[in-house]
Amino acid sequence: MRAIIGLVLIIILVWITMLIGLVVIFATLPFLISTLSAYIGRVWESVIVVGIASVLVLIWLFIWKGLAFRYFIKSLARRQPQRT
Amino acid sequence: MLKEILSIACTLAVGFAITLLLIPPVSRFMYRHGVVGADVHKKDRPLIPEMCGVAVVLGVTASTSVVGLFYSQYTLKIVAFVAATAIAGAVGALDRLTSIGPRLKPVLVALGAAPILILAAYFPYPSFPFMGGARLTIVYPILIPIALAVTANSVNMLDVFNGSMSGTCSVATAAIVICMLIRGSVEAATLAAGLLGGLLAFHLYNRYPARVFGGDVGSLYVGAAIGVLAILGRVEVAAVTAMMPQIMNAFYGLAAVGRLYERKEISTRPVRVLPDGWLDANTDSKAPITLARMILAKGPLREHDVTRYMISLSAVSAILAVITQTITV
Repeated sequence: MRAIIGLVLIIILVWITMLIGLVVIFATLPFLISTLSAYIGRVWESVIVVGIASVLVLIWLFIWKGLAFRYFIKSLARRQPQRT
Repeated sequence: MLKEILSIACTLAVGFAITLLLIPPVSRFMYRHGVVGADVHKKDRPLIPEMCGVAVVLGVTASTSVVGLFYSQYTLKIVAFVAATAIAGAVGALDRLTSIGPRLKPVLVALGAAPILILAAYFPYPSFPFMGGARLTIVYPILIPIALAVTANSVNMLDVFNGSMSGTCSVATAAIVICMLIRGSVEAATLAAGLLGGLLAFHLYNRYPARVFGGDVGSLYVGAAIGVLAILGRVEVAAVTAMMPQIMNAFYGLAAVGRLYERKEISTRPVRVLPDGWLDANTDSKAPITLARMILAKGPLREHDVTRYMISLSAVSAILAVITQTITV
């Protein structure tokens, strides 16, 4: 199991931050929607809300990508001499 | 209650039995017609019949008729499921026969969303953990093709070792069935049980040492089926959680290579076979970072151990998916 402990931790942390992110997005949406709908209508409001949510998701993905790749490079560097 | 248990058990049994019965004739047919692929993670690289995912497609599709017998009011959604997944399976077959390329493939798979949209077999008010329902009437239909393309290609990209696709997807589908039951979507859970039956039967033949390969037909079909089920059963967030190993693998691969790619296009493979048959992570910086390469980063392993670890990661994600559904209002 030694080989996947780091990956299990990554999955759990990705999951926790996904839940936090969803709560943040959906807790702020009602305020955003009520403000935007009054001025620009529902279609543009949806576009803006989805745009903001997509940017947040992309930032989240790239943070995790960075952490996972760093974990991988460290694991590779620390490993035992390779079998041949 | 008895009806629910009986319907799930019958659908699972039919999906399992028909897939199990169809795999030997389908694999013989593929072998006879030269539809074979080398098992590249073995020293002697044996030729294994490909496209045997056709048996899963037929077995699961047959199981949907059982769902129709138990829940006739669900027919429209069953039709949407069969049509959407058949499109994904057909794209897989087309790719095997004509090689449609890594960019066009997700676009064609996304067309599988058409039956769902045309038949309006979706509910654009998904529920989220802690927050309850959200109104996504404009965005939700746009997300359906994207969801299908993501799930289908994620599963396709994890179909790299003997039993890796069937094993991880069986665990994810089992979690999705439980989540649907928690959600109260019994009809969708019954539909998903058919997929679980087909996957378990296929795993018996596809596990190490593999006697059949599913090919793109199998992996794209299974991935699209999971995506469609998440939509029909309204367990979107839980399904994303259950699919985390597949999605992470696909995303890391894409991020490392910088574009959509086919395995055959990659000259520097992420995993290399050692002379004693063990697998090791390729230390070349040009090799794409995949889940398999990350598992092997700490040292060489046998192929079936890598698959076992992938299934273990799916089990962790499955537990998290059930927790996610429990806290979804």
